[in-house]
Order: sequence, then C-alpha cells, then structure tokens
Amino acid sequence: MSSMKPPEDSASTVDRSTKAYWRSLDRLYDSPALEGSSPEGDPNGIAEEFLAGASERPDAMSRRTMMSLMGATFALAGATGCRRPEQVIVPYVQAPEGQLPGVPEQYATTATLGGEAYGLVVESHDGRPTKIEGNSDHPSSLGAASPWLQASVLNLYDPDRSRTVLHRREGEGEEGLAAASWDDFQAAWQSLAEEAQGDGGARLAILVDGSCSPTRGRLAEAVQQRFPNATWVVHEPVNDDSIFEGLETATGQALRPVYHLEKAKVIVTLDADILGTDSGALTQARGFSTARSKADEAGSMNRLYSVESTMTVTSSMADHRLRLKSGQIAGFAAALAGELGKLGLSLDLGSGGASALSDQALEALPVIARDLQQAGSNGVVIAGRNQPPEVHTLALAMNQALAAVGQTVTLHELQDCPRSDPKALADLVEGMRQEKFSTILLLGGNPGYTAPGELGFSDALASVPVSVHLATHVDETSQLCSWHLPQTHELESWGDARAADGTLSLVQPLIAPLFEGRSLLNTLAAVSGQANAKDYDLVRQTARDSWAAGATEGFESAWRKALHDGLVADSASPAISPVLNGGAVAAAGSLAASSDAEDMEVVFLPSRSVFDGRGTNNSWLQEMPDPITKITWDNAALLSPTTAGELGVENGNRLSLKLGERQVEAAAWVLPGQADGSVAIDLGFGRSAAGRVGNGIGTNAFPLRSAFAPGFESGLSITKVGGSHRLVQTQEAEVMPADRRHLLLREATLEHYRQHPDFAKEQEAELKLGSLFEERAYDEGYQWGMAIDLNVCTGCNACVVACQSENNIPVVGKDQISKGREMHWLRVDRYFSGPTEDPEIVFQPVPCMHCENAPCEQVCPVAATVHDSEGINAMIYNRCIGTRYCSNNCPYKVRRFNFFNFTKDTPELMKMAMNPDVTVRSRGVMEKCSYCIQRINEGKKVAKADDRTVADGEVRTACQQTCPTNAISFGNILDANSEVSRQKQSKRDYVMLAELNNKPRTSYGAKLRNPNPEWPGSQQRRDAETSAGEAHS
Amino acid sequence: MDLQPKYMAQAESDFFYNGATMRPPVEGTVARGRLNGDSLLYEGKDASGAFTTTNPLAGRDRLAERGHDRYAIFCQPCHGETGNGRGMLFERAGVQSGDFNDPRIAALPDGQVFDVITNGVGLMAGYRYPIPPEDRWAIVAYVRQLQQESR
Repeated sequence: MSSMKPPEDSASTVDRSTKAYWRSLDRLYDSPALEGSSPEGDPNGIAEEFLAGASERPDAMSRRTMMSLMGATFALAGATGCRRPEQVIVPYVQAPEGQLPGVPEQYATTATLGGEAYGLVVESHDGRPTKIEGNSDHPSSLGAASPWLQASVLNLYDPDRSRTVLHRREGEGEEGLAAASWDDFQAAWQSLAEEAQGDGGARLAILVDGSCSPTRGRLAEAVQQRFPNATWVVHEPVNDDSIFEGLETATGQALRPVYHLEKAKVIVTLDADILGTDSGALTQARGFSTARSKADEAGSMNRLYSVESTMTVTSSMADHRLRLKSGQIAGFAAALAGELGKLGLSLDLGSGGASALSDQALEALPVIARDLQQAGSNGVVIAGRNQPPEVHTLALAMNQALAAVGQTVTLHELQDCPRSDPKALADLVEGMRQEKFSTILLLGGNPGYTAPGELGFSDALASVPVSVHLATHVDETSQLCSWHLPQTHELESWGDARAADGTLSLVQPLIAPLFEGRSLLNTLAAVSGQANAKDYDLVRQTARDSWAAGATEGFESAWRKALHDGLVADSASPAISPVLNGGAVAAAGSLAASSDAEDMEVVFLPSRSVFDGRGTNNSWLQEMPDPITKITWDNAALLSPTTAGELGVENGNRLSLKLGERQVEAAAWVLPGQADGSVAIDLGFGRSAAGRVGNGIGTNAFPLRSAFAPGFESGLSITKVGGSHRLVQTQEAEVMPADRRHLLLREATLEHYRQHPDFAKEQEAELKLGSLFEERAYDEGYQWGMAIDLNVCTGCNACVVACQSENNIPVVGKDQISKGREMHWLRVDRYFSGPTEDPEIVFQPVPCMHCENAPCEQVCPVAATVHDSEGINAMIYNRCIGTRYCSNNCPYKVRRFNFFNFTKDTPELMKMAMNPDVTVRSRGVMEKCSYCIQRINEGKKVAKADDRTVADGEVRTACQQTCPTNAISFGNILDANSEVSRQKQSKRDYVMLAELNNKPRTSYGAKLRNPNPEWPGSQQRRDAETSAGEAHS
Repeated sequence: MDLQPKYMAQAESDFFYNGATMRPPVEGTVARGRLNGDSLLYEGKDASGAFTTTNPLAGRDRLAERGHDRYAIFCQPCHGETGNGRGMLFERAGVQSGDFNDPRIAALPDGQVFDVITNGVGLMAGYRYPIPPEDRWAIVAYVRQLQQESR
C-alpha cells in the first residue's frame, strides 16, 4: 500500500481520489455500536466483518433434536415421501397464433402515478406478465423505469388483494363486511342513483384519485351531467398542484412544465428531486446524464446547484449544494430573482428575502446568478412540488428572463389532468360531518389513510350512511365503508393516459382480471348510468371520438397501431409561449420574500420506495434500501447532526413530533446533509390495513400533515419519548477496511481531470501484477463485460429492483437484513465525503465483477462456480454444497447465500411473478449476479437462428435496461465499436481493487464534479480535503 | 430445486379455474411485433376484402421448395404425395381428403387456399397455430406446383 502515493496536487484543482470517504456517522466516529471495531485489538479488521449473531440460528434447536424429530416424521410418513410428485402437462386448448410455450411476448402499456403516465413494455410469459420495462418510444419513460414501476408487477400478484365485492349489512358493526357480488352492488346503486337524481345529486359526493386519462375525464363529465349538484372532489396525496397553481397565477393558463435537461448547462433546483421522485424524473435523469456524459468528448459538463432541505438522489449529482430549510427556499428564490434582476435580466421584483438566509447562501447567490445569466437559455431553474405556488411563479419568471422557456423548459397545456383542491377536500369532510351527504363514492385512492390528519376524514366518514370504496385492497378506507369494490390492477385493465407533454397512450391488459375486479372506468360508467359498459368499449369510444376520428388508415388500424406502439403518434401537445403577468410575478416575489422560517419545520417526502403508501405491501419495495439512508422496512424522522446534537437525539431514539394538535411518534435518524432545524419524514408507512407485508411498518406521517401546507410546515416541536426503535440498514453489514475505502471510488473535479486525464488509473501504473495460475487469453467469440459510469449514476436503486424482478431474488425481511443477509445481487453503495454537517454523496452500484482471475472459483471445493469461455463467472446452483468459501474469498462481497429456504412458503399468486427462465434457488445455495445469463443465452439463440452474431445493444441486462441515466453499459468487449468498449476506453475507466489482479470485467467510470471556481470558500475547502487526503495515504 | 415455486410453461396451476398456468392473451390486445397489419400477408385478402389471386411471396427464392418441405410435414398424411387426397389417412382409414385437381378446388384463388390452410374447412382443422404465415404461403405455392405437374 505504501507504494501508492496520491498524485501531486496542483493549486487550482483537487484530486478526489485521495479524499477520505466514510460510510456513515457510526463508521466515522468508531461508534461502539459496531462491536470489535477498534483497530488496536483487531488490526486486520476481521471482527468488524461479521456482526455478532451472524452465525446463530434464530431458534435454539440442536442438531440432535432436529434429527430425532425428522426421524419421527419419516417413520410416520412411510415411503410415500420418496416418490416424485406426479406432474401433468397442461397445454393450450386454443393456442394463440405464432406463440410458442415458454417464449415470452411483449406488450406495450402504460402505468399512471399521480398526474403522470409512463409508457411501459411488459414481458409476458405464456399470458402472465412477469417483467416490466420502460417503453423506449414513450417520452415519459424513454425506456427506463423507476423502482416503483419495476415493483408494480408484484402488486398485481399481491395475495392480499381483495377478491370480491364486500358489503356491510345494516346493523352488523365492525365485523360486518361480507362477500357480495357486482350484481348486488349494481342493484343497490340503481336505487341509490334514482334517489339521488331527484335533487340532482345534492346529497351525493364523489371522490376520485388524480390520474390523467381522457376517458376518465369524459366519464366524469357524464357523471356530472347526471348529477349536476353532486360534490366532486379529486384527492391525490402527492401531487404537482402547487406547480400548476404557480404557473396559472403567472400566465393565466393551465400549464405544466416539461424539462429538457440535455440542453441545460446550468441547473438550479429549489427543493426539487429532479432525478428521483419528481413526476418527470425519468426523462429528466436521461436528459441530465446526456449532458453530463459529454465530459469526455466535449471536455465540458453541465453544472447543478441543488438548494434543498434534505439529501436526495439529486444531491449526489449536485456540483454545489446549499442546505436550507424548505421554508427558507421561497426567500432564496426571491433573492435569486433579485440577483438576476441586478445582472440586467428583466425581472423587476425589488429586493428582499435575503435577510433570513445563512451567510453561505448569501455569498453563493451572486455566484449562482452569474452562472445562470451566462448560461442564458441553457440555464434553468426548477422548483419542487413541495414548494408553495409563489416559488413556482418565480421560477417561471426566472426561466422566462433567461430565455430558457422553449429551450430547457417547455410549457404544455394541462390536459385531462384533474387537480386536487385541498379546500374541496376540507369542505367535503365538513359536509360529511354535518350529515350533508347520504351517499359517498370513493373511487380509487385511500383517503382514510392519506387525507391530512387535521381534517378527520375517517371519523367524518362514519356519518355518511352509504359509503362505497373502489380499491385494490381492503384498506384503511374500505374498512370504514359500507361497500368495498375490488379494483383491477393496471396490468389487467383497459384505459388510456396522458403524459406531461400531452402524449396519449393506451393501457392494455396483459392478463384477464385475476379476481372479480373492475377498473375505475367501468365503475365510473356504471355511476353515470351505463351499467355494464366494458372498459374496452369505453376507451374505444373515446378513441373514435377524439384521436382516431380522422385516421387515414381507418379506425381499426389506428387503434391497433396505438396498442402496438404504446402511444398515439403525434399526440404530444405543442410548446406554449406564455405571456407573464408582471403584477402576479411581483406579488409572488413579495410573498416569497416575506416567508418566515424561524421555527423547526417538518418536511413530508414521498418515499423513494413505496411512494405515498401504494407500495407499502410490496415486499420488493420494503426490502429496497432507501438510497440515502439505506434503511429498509422502516421510515424515520431525519435530523441533521447539529439539530440532533442540540436535542440530544441519537439514531433509533423514539421521538414525538407535535404540530399544533397533531402528533405522531417516529424513530430518529441522524442524516448528514439534512438542513438544520428541519425534520424530514417519508410518507407511505405506518399503515394498518395494507396487508401481511406492510402492516405496522414505520410511522404514518399523514396525521401530521395539514391540508393547506402539504409539503412542509413550521412550528414542529420534538420531544424524546424514551425507548428506541431498531432501524435496519443494508450498508453497515459489509465493511471494507478503512485504509482501502477511498480506493473504491475515484472522483475528481473536471478541472483536475483536464489536467490529469489519467487520474483514475494513476495508482495502478506502478503495480507489478502477477498470477499463480496460468492466465487465459479471452480473445475469441463473445466476451461479456460491463461498465458503470459513476458520473451519471444517481443511486435511485431502480437497477436493484429490476434485478430482483428478473432473477427471482427472494425477500428476506428486516431481521435477516440486520445480520447482513439481504439477497440483492446488485447493491448500490453510498459514500459520504467532506464535513459531517454538509457532505457530498456518491453512489456506486456493485454487481458481480465477473473477474477473469476469480478468487471465488479458486476456492470452491466442488467446482460449483466456474468460468465459461465468454468470461462469465457461472454459478451452478445444483453443485453448491454451501461451504460459503467463495463468498469468504470474494473481495467485493457480491455473493449471496440462501441461509434459509426463503421461497418455501411462496403464496400461489406470487409464483406467477417469478421469471420462468431463472431458477428459484433453495436453501444452502450460493447465488450472485450472472450478467443476466438467461438474457445472454436468449440473445445468442435468436442470433444463431438468424445466422448472425449478437448485435451491440441486443442483449441488455435487467439493470442496464431500466437505468434512467444509462449509467450501465453491457456487451461484447471484443467488439471495439460496442458501447461498453467505448466506455472502457474512456480515461476515467478503472476497476476496483486492481492490485489484487482479479481482472474484473465490471469496470467503473470515475465521477467528476464541476464546481464553480468562484464558489465562496472553495479554496478553503479544497485545502481541507487535500490535507485529509494526505493523512490517509 | 427440482420443484421450484414458479409457473413454468405447460404446467399445472392451483390458482386458475382450468388448472393451467398458460393464459390466453386478452382479446383485443396487440403484442409487440404482432401488429400483423398487412391483411394481404396475414389473411390472404386484398384491400377490398376479397381473396387475392396472387401469392404475395411470389418472387421469393425457392418458395416452392420450402413449401414442399412444409407440405411433407403437415399436409401429406391426408392429402397425399401428389395432392390427390389419398394419403396415409386414406390408406389406413379410408377418409378421402381434398383432391387438388378437383375442378372446384383448382379454381380457388391463392388467398382462399391460404384461408383454408389457416382456418380449416369441413373436417380439416386450421393450421394457423403450427404454421407461420410465410410458410403457409410457401405451401400455397407448392400446391400450385403440384396442380401444374399433374396436368
């Protein structure tokens, strides 16, 4: 190790490769929570590699007891246990044309989430959907899929889904929900409707969720025509209404923004998670990475300034990050607009808003403004959905002044997209309480769980005599209603949806409804009077009347083409050039400038895994670690180290969070990078009726949320209530020794890269590598390799969930994860660096390296892991006897062992979610990333049948295909023109632990940051980092 | 891992009403790559809806050879080597199949022959599933060749 000196550091640049990295605060401060971690007593760091209790079985059964019990079982069962079970072959009776059993088909469809629609291509094995991918032709997904979209296929196969209509008969109280039929409901609705029509529906209320669909809009109008006096409320707990309101105030039109970040050179985000949970995150991530990855060719990179109150995946890409409370960001926006005005841009807002900001922010303002002004129409200011409308008005004004509207941001008509009105919801609840309604229909959504706590929705619902809830599960709302109607999942229903830029796409079912569900469209049609209308006919009717009306090729052809392609061609709406109302902008400016953020605030975030509660019962999402905190199966109240220090709060302490009359209890987590005086908490947890997976996990933050300030609110008071809660993370369990940590990640500033292009590989230049074994030359046929570009990886974990979906990876649960036994083949490590208060964050996905000189292959006693001629380190499950020596020897710790039979009790329904092309492993078998060997074999087979070689891009691993930023490239490294070869030829390319001479096939592209040389305090910081780096070598 | 908790092709299912893991595609859905928009190639009908009189794959190299190959597999047992309707089925069970030189059958346009192969007629089942459309057109070409040879 002493032969590796950090390179000479020039005065104006910083070599990040010698930065000291730390994984978490416990690691940094050598917390006693991690036993045996003192370097003196344990110089090799062995004790810290295995946590206490890792080798103990959960129960205390001895081997002898187990053998005797099993002996008894055999004696009683006789010899029947020794026979193979009889299996029959069940072919199609009426086979679909051209399809072969076992060969998957693909269908284009759409998924909606809140107010956005994402085009998908779903792989279907023998008529059952098994894997979701993005539709590369669709503008909202561009071939990518977020963790939620990847996991949504498991929601289809959720055994806790409701199966029949349920009806609470009069006078039977809480236990009275009994099975009924749709005919029963139709009959009941018939009489209710006739009664309601008498007064035009004055005593009827309807609440719907916020999905954007033209057919839904048409049916909603039909309902409103039938019942003109009915109360109609839209409720979507996580929505973009603040954005729409801000734009409408400024322009007078209902508009929505679409960002084109591939054109952006300078991006300023105001509390916006543009690469993570924003509606347009998939396209924004793709655009951002396109601009980011030009660092090699063009020698220039975009620059991202992130002004936010909590750490997000966007933070990892930020070149500069300002920690401000969410409540202070409005003032910051006003001040930034003022600075831009001083630089001559046409923004007349006067001054103000600057007083409440920190010194660092005040110094940074003119620097950011100058950078934006220089970027001009290639700059963009993006505000997040949590911010109030005036901030969005200001952001639009700034973008307009920069001439960015029409370039980096385009505005489109807000079509078919209902807006949640918090006042309407509050009025509805008040009306319910006053017994104004005799019937309420809750079509979609889960307002009993997601409605703001202060309204008291659940209590008010009890006052309505007849309440009907359409939902996929018998959830918190359904349990309070008199009727529960099962809703179909999107993968089993017909529908249509509109994306942000206006593109219309269709939803087609991949399987007939598994249970007796009906879609929202069916139900709305029934409510409007068309009792047995099928959603297929309804969507076709909308098509006939609107987009397919004048189709030259005829209706059927246009319809079929839209189904085939996954979108209606040329349906995007044109960009609008708005005229801004100067008065409105000025008013927004003064409103923003006067924002006061003195007190402790609480910020409500949609969970990066379960979103707003719809994914709580999805075990893949619960198991997926939160990208920033790495917490699984839980949520926590996130505090900054300073705030935690002031309150005397440590990780896991139970806190009582009180806001006025509302109160919840949560576990605390100290998050480096969280703003001081701001507590962030994820929505979507703490459910009581989610199902067997999601019940009772985490804290429900909705009771704390107010109706009119859904993003954040100040005035929070925190008290410790004693006791602690065990929060389980995935990152702590695998520990790389301290002196090697900074060698796993190579990072530099763009300036340093320009001056030292070989910085990523400098440390390997002096290595003299040899091998005990004869090294094989892999120079024929296909040689598979992978390159992961850390410069664009945002750490969103979509690849992790995609891998889980594709490779039948089991879910192990919180207890096993606490012992480090999570089964994800691909993990995303996150590293903090810099001061604990205000660190930078970097993500590194780690799949199997497929080393040419694999240490795991050398130690397997039964040759269960061998190398094939194409460079893949193959795992033969049947041969594995479970010595786990391979995992012991793997320096990257990418091998996973099935300590228990995690798939033993798989519910029948969940068996359908398994990929038939991949083995479902049993107990005692080691598994690891296989470079999606099933996809490689499929690709080779198809190519061979066509008498050609596999083309570049034809075989894509699951992680590669879903990545929104295209961070992962995979292919044949012998082909000099393949994408992976191009990535590996980059000067930034390096491999982890090269000194071990493993020759990994998976390499990484070092991360670059593009800091602004004028940033205040930058010289000071660089000096501090250089000295920290020197101390480490 | 002999018996894995997943659904394989042609396996039994405890969940579905008919005990099969394989589900038919929902009526009206269109899979990727299965637009089959060309009604001439896929149904043998031209734009007006009448059966086409020409084989859309007419100029293709060795079409009749491929047709011969496929004919021997699928058609020969009933229709015989020369297309006289007296194949093995006639020898063993005395069932007479369509004779290609029968004036009624010889007068059928190409598109209708394609339709018969696809959907069947009378006792004959449709061969839509086992034979891809292009191979069916190849068989049509071979049938024409047989008809010419026996004149």
